[in-house]
Amino acid sequence: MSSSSALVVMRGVTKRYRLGSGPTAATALRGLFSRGHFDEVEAVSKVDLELQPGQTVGLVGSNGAGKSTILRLLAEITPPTEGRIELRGRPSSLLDVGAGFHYELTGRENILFSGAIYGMTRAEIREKLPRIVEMAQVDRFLDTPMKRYSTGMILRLGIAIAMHVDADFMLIDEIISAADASFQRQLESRIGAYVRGGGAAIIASHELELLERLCHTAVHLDQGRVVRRGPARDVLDAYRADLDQKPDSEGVERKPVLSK
Amino acid sequence: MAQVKIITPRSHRPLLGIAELVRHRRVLYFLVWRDIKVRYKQTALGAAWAVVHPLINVVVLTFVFHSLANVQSGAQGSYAAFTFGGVLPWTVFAASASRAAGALIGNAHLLGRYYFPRLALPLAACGAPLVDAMVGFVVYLILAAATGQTLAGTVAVAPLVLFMSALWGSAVGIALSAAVVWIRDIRQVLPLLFQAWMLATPVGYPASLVPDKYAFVIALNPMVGPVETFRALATGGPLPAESLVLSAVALVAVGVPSLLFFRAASQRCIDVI
Repeated sequence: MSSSSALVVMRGVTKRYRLGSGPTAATALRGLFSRGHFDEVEAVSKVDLELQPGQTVGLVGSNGAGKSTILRLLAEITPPTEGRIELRGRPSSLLDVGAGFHYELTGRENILFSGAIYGMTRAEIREKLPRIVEMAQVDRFLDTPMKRYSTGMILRLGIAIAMHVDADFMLIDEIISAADASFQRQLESRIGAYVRGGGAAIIASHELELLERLCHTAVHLDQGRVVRRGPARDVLDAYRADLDQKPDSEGVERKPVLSK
Repeated sequence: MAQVKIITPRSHRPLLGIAELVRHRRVLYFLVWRDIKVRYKQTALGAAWAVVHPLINVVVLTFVFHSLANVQSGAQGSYAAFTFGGVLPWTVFAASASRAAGALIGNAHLLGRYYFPRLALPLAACGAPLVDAMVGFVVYLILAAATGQTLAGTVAVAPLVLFMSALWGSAVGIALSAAVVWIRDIRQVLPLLFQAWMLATPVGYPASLVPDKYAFVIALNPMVGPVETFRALATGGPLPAESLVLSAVALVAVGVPSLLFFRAASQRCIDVI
């Protein structure tokens, strides 16, 4: 595999977040004008990652392992602290699905709005609208304000919009398990078809069986570092074995790293 | 194969981000559209609020300066129409600036969800005040006609001044929107600042009322240009060329650093917000 055709290349990417009670005027001024001493945590630490067309990469690890941060870096939501990311083509991101909706607007209006932010034209959205509505199963509620929607409907609509973006690869963050069983199956087959059709995806999930079915490659992360990578089955088996060995490790607090 | 996008901690970003914004102009359009749609939903008066706000200012300022302090506008027509001619350009500015200032923290959910040029948020916040001002402009024409104010033919280009006021609002608001993420106190100060600033601008009184020793306040205030120009265009008075040029030059002098600051700060906003 040469990196020249890769959709995503991460090289030595580190992301540090500051810890603390949030900004005050005093810390803000220090933060803007100096590189003072802050308690920091490395959410992602010197990570290398590649995604080739037609490939699905699964990210596993306990809470705080850095899975979501990697997806947020690739979605250009937050910049890296160190390292280099190369992106070829356009991603469609399924992160925080539903967070981008405005609950006073109707489903139809939200589809128009989200579509525009994803870079779709009005004509493109109108053309795709029937398929989005069908997948989300919200046809009867299309002209109802979103605040009357159930959690499941909001989730399905968010996913359905993202699945209809013309994207070169998808970034999927732990959303599949939140949907009901029949939607999960539908989503799984759609993601599979999308990747076989030349797309690619990076999926972060705690659902190991799902990752095993969807992914070719898996990466096991722990406290921001890559612990293991390789064929999905091998990595996931090893991850399961790790979990069995130290059942208390899930969700353990990370040690803050004092920088400089 | 699509072109490569390289992201590093110091990724090369376009200087002011205008070109990127033009590429994503649909986002800008839909943000304004959403603002206008959501704004007066579930209010009894609905879009009429857009007119009620400036009208209340007109009534208060006219009562205080004209009825109580017996100030004369020195121009033909009613004092209320005179005040309206100042309130309109002022309101676009103040509303644009304060709405833009809250645009990043108010849309944190979008920042954490999608990639799009962050500049679209404070800029789009100026859309609704501008639309409100256009409605207000029509009401101004009606009020002027009803109170016997003669309007000049140049009133047709007066909306351009409202556009300039909105630009001033965005120039101030873009930098504020990023600064507010780190220093929330700014949001508490803004209403007071704009109130004081309005009273220091000849909105409810004519500039001729200001004694010589405070003339510098008028000379240094960049909003005097739009306010005086709007009135001059509407009623056919002499154009205040000096303060208009000063305001236009100051607009660039404030706007460019504001964009540069925003570009530097907005990328890291999401980690702090």
